[in-house]
Amino acid sequence: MTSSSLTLALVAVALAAGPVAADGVRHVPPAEAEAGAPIELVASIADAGHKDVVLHYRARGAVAWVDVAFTQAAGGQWVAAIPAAAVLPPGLEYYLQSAAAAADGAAPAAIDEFASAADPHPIVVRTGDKDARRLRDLGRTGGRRSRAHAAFEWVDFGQRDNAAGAVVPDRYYRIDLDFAYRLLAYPLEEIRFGYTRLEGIVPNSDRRVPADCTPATEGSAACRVDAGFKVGGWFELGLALAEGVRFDGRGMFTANQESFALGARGELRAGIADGNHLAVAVEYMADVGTIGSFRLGWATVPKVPMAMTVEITDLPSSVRATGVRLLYDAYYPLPTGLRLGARLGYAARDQIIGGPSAGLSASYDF
Amino acid sequence: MIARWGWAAALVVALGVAPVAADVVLAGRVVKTDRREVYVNLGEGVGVEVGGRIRFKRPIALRHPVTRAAVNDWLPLGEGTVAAVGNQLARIELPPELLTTIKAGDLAEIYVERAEAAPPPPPKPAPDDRPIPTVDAETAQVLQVWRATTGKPIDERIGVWSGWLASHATSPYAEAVRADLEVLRATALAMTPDLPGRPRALDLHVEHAAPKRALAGADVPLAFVLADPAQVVAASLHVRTRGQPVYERVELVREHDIYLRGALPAALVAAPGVEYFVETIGADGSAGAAYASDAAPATIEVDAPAVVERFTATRQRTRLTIIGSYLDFATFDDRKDSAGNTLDRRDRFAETQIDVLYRLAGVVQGVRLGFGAYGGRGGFSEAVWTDAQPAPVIGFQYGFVEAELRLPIDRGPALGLAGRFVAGVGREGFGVGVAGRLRLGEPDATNLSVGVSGVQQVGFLSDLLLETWPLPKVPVGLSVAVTDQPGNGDLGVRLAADLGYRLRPWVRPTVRVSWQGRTAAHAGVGGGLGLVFDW
Repeated sequence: MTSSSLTLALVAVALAAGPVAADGVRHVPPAEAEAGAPIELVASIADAGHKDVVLHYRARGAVAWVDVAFTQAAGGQWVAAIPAAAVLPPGLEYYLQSAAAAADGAAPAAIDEFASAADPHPIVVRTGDKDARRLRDLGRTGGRRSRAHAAFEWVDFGQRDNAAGAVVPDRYYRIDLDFAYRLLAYPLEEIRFGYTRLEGIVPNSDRRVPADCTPATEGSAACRVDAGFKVGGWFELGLALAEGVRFDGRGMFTANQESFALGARGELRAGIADGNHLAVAVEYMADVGTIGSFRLGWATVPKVPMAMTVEITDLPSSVRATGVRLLYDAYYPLPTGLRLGARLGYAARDQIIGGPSAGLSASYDF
Repeated sequence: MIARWGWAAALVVALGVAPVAADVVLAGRVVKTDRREVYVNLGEGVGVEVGGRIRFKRPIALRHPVTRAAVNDWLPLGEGTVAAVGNQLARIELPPELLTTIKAGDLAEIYVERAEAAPPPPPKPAPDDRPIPTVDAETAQVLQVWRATTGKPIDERIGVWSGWLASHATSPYAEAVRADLEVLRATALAMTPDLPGRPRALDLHVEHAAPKRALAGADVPLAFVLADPAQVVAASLHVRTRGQPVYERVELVREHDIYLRGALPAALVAAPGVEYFVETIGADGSAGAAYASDAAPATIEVDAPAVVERFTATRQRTRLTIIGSYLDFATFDDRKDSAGNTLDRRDRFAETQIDVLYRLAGVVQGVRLGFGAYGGRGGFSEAVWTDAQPAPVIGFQYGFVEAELRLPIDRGPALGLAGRFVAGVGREGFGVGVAGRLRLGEPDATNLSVGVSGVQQVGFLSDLLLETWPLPKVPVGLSVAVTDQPGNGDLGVRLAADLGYRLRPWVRPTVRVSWQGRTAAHAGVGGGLGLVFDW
């Protein structure tokens, strides 16, 4: 017996030391228990020689009952123990029955002595704060600790031109592939590795196509920029500042059109990442540009969590003027752990010309 | 006490059978209380004499447990002696135990002997031959208890009804009895403020293993074991969140004779803790604390809910709003040039917006994120637009994020402060803006707010807005605004009225009409439509 269970038993014995009802079972139920330690339930039984008293217990939410007969212990008390392996959060529920042998040899009839199968008495099982938090986090993810994720997005800010008739698109696409593992070693909650590819074409000026470009030269480097990078690797740490408040910090290494470059991303989020949440994020990629965003996610429509995002960005090239993207996301999580997502949006660098954004995503939790 | 007045009851019966004298029971009221005596509005004019005994009753309004009809009942309090009599008033001396009990308004009754002949008795009503209605066994039992307790002292009533409730918790009359018990207990508490601490004749305490910690917002089931079950007829749990002045009562259900079970209600289980004590009622009607007490309650620590808990709710938390509005500042501007030609003084703008609000509990009342598009032309009251000088065009496509805080004010109406950040693109490229609103009152009830906003390339707008619900399904908003929109033009004023109708609990269309002008000559009308979805 562990010291904690011994203490619990002693307390229970002390509490059960009162007088016994004439023909009943007197038992002071424990209010809570410690995870992983056995629980000894103590009772005083008035006519113990004529009936058997049985403890019926089960984990909260379980269907089947486990039966344990009370046995006599020192001091005239009767004891039934719930083994340590069964004492798990969030708790247990139990009731006591007695069965007296019938005089005619018929099968004994069970009588409820404390609580009942229909209305059992609960015992809250406590764990340490971190263990309890880990259980809650795992409960929110269905017990799955890993996630593989893929996303594709097409962003079009609209075709740009100049007075000479040169036309250059202003668009890019982005692919993100990543794997996340929920460590739940607070404050480090998650680690994430990923690959990003981002490529685009933009005019070589902040707003319009350069004035000296013509239709004949619009494909030259002086008129258009092949922006972005083919290979970008990154590593991200998810730090849970409190339960429900998380900061994701990312370091990024990219091989862009001319050289090796660095990037970083930070997101501060309150709420549940796949549910109701509010997030503010900043992402910087050298030469490619910067994104600042606000996102509100809500999981109040059954089975279809959604999000809206306001993004301020100069992607895919830092030579471009800052614009905004207004994005709407909808997801469809499946019980298997697969989660599909679709994105629609509008992107513009000024009020005159804009274009659509669209994307698809899939993630799998396991 | 009742026995001492048995003679009065016998007299009443006797009067009803064969009145031979004019002796009457006079009824008055306590009109004034003093330190050792009280005054009643019965004097020598009606036959009251010094040395007479006068009894006091406390009126109490109850409801019949079966019919729920209002019943004016009374509680016997005690007796006093007439010490002095005036024409209209009598001064009554009270025994010490009644000094703090009798209050102005209590009934006062005195038996008076008169010499004159008694009035003839009223005619007896004709016998009612209708069959007596039959009732089910449960109703009959409630009626029996009701009859048995009528006119009884308050402790006795509480004891009897509590005992009935403990063994009939699921009866269809349980709610009614529970309500009447609340009235009785409140009356008892007012009559004997030291109720929980007074000496107990019986050992009514309970054994209990108390939890040390609890999760906020979840019921805490508790069980108690009676030390002497035969002496207890009922028990109740008194619960409050730590720091609150008042306990709430929860009836404990008695099981297998010796156990009492119940739960601390989730609504009261909040940080920093929850406090409780158990009160039992003995077979003799006495009541008192059986586990802890109101002055020294048992305490369970409750951790403040984690931030994530504020984001877990999914029902009645989200609102989607779609609005579109159009404002024309020049509808009525018919100023002409010297040749009588109508001048182009166009001055208008339109705006559409869609946003989602997620409501949070706590200081941050809600967060909102939305998109919008804004377009307009003009903006000046005296400008005349020509081909050479066309009306300026203003456009802005934007997104915004907003948070509304509920300021921690203890008293008075709710005070909210909302801040909004706007980012978008106009004809001149990227621009930002901010907005703020101070609100007095609940956002979804009657409230008055003042707001101000400024957005690059668009202009500023400040307004005073009253929102109210004159009918349960009809919200109304009235606002007056000052603005230089579109495009940082001349100042103008806008008067707007919004009217909504809640078609279903989750959808509400709205309509807006407005009048706006920059000068008396340069004014116009506007309108708008909206849809609000709540789920």
